[in-house]
Amino acid sequence: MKLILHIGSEKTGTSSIQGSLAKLREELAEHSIFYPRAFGYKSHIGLINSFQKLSCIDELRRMQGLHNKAQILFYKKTVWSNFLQELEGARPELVVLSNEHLSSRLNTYEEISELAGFLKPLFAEIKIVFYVRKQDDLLISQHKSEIFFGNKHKDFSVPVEDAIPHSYNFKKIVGLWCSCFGQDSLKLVDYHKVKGNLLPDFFALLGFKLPDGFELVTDNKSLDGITAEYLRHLNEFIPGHISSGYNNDRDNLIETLLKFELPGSTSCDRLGSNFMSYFECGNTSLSQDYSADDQKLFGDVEPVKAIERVDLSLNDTFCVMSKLWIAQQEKIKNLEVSCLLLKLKGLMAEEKYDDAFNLAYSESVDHIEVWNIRHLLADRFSRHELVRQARFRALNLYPAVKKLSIVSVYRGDYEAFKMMIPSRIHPDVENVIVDCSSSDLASAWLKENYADVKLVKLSRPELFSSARVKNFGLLSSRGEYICMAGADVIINPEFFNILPRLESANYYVRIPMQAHIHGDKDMSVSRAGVATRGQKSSWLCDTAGTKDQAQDNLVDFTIFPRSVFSMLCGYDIEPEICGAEDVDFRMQLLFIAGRKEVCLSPGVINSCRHHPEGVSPGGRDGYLSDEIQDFSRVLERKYGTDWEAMLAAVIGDFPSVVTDSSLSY
Amino acid sequence: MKLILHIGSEGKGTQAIQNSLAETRPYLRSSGLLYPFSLGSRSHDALISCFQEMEQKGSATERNRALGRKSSILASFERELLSKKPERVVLSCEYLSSWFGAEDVRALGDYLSKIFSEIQVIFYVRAQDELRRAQYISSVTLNGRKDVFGSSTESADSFDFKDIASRWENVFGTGSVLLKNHEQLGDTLLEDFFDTVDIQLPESLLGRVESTQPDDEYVEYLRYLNRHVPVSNGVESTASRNDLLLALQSIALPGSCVAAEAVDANIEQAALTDHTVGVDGAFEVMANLWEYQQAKIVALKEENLTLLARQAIASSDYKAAQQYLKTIQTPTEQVWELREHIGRRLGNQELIRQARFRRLALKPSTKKLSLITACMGRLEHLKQTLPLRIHPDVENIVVDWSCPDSCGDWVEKNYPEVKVVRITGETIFNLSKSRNAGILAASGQYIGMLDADLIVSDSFLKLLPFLNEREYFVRIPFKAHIGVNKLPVINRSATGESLLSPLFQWRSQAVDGGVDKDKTDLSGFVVFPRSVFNYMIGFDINIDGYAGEDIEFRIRLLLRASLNEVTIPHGVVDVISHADDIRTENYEEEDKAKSMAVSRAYRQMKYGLGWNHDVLLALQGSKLLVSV
Repeated sequence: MKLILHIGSEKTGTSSIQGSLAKLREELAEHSIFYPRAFGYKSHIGLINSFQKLSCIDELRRMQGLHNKAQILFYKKTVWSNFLQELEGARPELVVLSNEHLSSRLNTYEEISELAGFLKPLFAEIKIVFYVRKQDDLLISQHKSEIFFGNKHKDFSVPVEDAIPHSYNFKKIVGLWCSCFGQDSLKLVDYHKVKGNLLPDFFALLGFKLPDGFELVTDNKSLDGITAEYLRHLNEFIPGHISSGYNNDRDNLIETLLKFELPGSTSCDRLGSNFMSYFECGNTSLSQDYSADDQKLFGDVEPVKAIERVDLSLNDTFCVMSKLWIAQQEKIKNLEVSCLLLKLKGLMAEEKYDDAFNLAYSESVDHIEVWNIRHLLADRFSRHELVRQARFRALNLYPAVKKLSIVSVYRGDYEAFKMMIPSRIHPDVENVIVDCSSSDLASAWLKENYADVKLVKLSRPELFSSARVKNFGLLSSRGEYICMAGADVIINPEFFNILPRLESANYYVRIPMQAHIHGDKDMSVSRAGVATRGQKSSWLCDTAGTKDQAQDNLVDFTIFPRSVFSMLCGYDIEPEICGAEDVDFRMQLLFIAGRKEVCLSPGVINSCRHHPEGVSPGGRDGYLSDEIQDFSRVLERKYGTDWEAMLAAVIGDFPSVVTDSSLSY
Repeated sequence: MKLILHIGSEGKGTQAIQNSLAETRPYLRSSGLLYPFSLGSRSHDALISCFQEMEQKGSATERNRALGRKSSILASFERELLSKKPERVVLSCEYLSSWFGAEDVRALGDYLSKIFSEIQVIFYVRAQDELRRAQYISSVTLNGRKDVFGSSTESADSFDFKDIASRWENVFGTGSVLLKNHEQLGDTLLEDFFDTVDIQLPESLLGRVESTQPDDEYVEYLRYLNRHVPVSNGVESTASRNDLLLALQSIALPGSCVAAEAVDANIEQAALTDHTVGVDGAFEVMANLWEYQQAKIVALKEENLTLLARQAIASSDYKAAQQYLKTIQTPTEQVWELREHIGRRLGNQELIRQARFRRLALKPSTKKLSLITACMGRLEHLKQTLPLRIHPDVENIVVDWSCPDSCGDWVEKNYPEVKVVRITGETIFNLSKSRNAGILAASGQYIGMLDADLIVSDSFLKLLPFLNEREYFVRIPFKAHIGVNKLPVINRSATGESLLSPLFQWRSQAVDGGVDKDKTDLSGFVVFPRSVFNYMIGFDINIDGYAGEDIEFRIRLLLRASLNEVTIPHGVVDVISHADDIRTENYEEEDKAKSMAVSRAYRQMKYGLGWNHDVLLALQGSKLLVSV
């Protein structure tokens, strides 16, 4: 039985090698090559923790829960016993052990010879494999690596002779291992020569060909200079290791930093040329002893001349502090929601509905699932206003599937309907039809011809007011914006040109509707019930528009962002307001949602037919005249006695007419 | 109906008045005074949104919303007045004095004078520099101000109290404004306000002083963060903002605030400069904020897991519940309670035991040390030793293991301060179980295990202050046999003597270094921090015969709890000499040697061959806790 003992060094692709060995364990076993688990699943850290001197309690040992000598001794006995059992079971021809710290942390003859004492009786032949990386290159890589793993680290500096760590002195390392395992036992590999072909080169040493297309995803993320600098500063306060082991406070810190574009300026500093002179003699000697082709070790490797320096201003630092804060708050918020949902579900499972209701409404959490639960609870307690609120708040939070949802209520004008639907088909538009008709004609036609159109079929529409019916349509909408349009409204192709311009949630769009007012100064005259005082007042506030009686059924045409339902609860379903819910909705958009009104130029949309006065645009004669009441009183109660003046004042504030099909904010 | 309208000025004093009014609403109501809800629960800031000129209200969105809100707010206010019918009403908003121009005051006056027959305006003033600073702090904390103090030129009008007072008098009438000096009132501000409204200061508010202003570092760090953390989401202040304010109050903020050159000779320059905060300080705050949030994240994750476990328990999916609970990194008492519950459901005694000991580790300490004595038939010894163990910092626990002498009764009668744990119906002594029963009742920071015959000297209790680290446990150095027998080997020649002195005991004693053959009874003495039960459970109940449980416990203190052993000097504790045969009289196996052999075999099975060598090697050089 042979052993290949891979001792590093650090920063020579050891994580990739070990990750591959672990991943290919079974394939290797088929070739009688054994990569044990007893010392560690990927990296054989157990070798270090067993053979480093007893008095050393460093972070590697603490991470394994080794804090005193008794534990180390028990650990050593246990892992060796497990290793021997594994070996007994596997009976391989070749065993591979690998840990990069073997070269850097077993740095005395006593430690290495004790390891040799354990290994030699087990193996007929032992090969030590040692990859080396040019010291100046290693120095820089090591610097970043130490920052990555959370070492408290002063700014980069080049160590002078006495402070150079053991791990850089390859000659000494080779000497120690050879004195314990024999002069010929060591294979020295110049990392720079195999860098691009590291894995095939290593596995070739085992006599194993990597499977075609084999790829390894490693956990190690590389840090750019700026990120490393931020992390270096943070390591001072959030080190990778604390006395009890790994510092959990560091969880996700690097991942979070890597998500941001971090501010900071970089410059280059020269790396002193003296550094490599410390190793020249040793490197030359190693070249002579271990180079097959008499090439000088690292002969072709360019010297590192400069290192990146990063300067951070106070503002940069606060900027990143804020980014971290916001990212963490997001996580906290999500977890709080998750906790709340679990608590609510728990209470509901225990049928503690009162407690669930109180909890649901005591937390100001705006989340779809929470609103859905509030909906259930409010329903249970017959709190209808809360049910409506919950449904519309949830509506606000559903992700947008299209840019615009066009919602129409169909009441039975089939011919007009068939003309209208084709004009509304557009890839960025979701069409929602609330079918209030008594027949299935339109539904069947839609299914056959426009299956993508969303259909809300009300089986007993007479039970619902026009506001309620519209709300059904709204609640089915998933567009980023929602357009309320009569069922007979034809949309001209140029209308869709405005879709890309719908980009601000601070506005809503109407068609200026002043037509009748100029012709009818007497506000007290009700125009066959269609234009009540409030309706007229609403129109009066519009400052432009042409007198076009044919277009009066465009009065409720509105486009608004779905996000208004973070504050609104759809059309007001109070019976008194019925029939003029569009006016109320306009007031809500302005005064509750605080949106600004802009207008669409006339002609972009058209009513497909003119209805006689007093006839509902939906086709049900007498529908409006039956239901419309003087809703002014309701508006006064809702918005104050001066609601008309308020409306006029606000509308007057804004440029409200756009002369082409584009919107002007 | 009379109105008392408190218009400021800004600062902590006003907040103290508003908090007091808000807290004592029922009391005020009983005196016929209303502090309305409808205009704000604490401060009546809604008056600003209702009556301040539109130009002051920022964006179009805000203006529209304000218009919409005004009518509904005032309608609610009127409804509240109608329903409560108070004799007097207090309204308070500090921004009325600083933000309201003449037109705003007039609009407010027009409205209020329709409702109230008499209106008194109260205006507490403070030195202008103080006021300006208070305004600066509130603009940084509430409005997300980003520039330094003194960099924007506030209108001098807002500091001209004469002008402000006349602005209000012009509307509400001459003599209607009561101007008071906040500085002179100092800590009696609240009393003065309540006097002014003619209400006796409620007892709950007596002696309350206004809270202090946030320190300059807080304000300065926040000002920097304001550049990057939005104050609101465009509609309202975000919850995250409030969390940020709380976080900054909870963490250490390095840096020093120095007064830079004053912009105005009368105004203190309070802002820190880049130089004084410094990048290093900012990183420290960044790290502190991160840790603050990480702690919240961990707590929330664990709360989530606990809730998921509860859900799983509710549906009898104990396996899933266990998985959730096991994932929790720092389990709380509640988590261990759930695990104990699962253990009971599954009949898993090991889990129940583990959960009980983990919960024990998490309980707060009431005393420095709990001394536990398990007793079955040793009342005579206890009578001699217990009195010596009484100490204000010591909690004594006696476990009456079905004691034939009813030691529990004696203790309760003579030492009521000593806790008695009674185990009834047992005929055979089990030291491990009885010690565990005592441990589970302990609340000391440290726990000491004592036999009934162990005498505690004064000097032992003097050691208490030295028990202040969690990294060690304390034993008595054990040297008894070594002085007599230099070779730590087993004498196998005679009748069972090898079993009397098992290898470990010998070697353990060998390491200690040897005196006094009679003192073997001290081997069970051990003092350890209660926190060890975060990592291990109590004594191994599989060792149910005489001796050995202490050695096994000692091994786990080393291996599981990662403690190091220290010793206390000889003579600090002593033992009552007694006949050897009474040691085993209450055990099933009365042959002491056999009992010890069984225990040794069990330990070898548990820890493997060679464990004794390893432990001894590790213990070499154990330190002395302290020399008394």
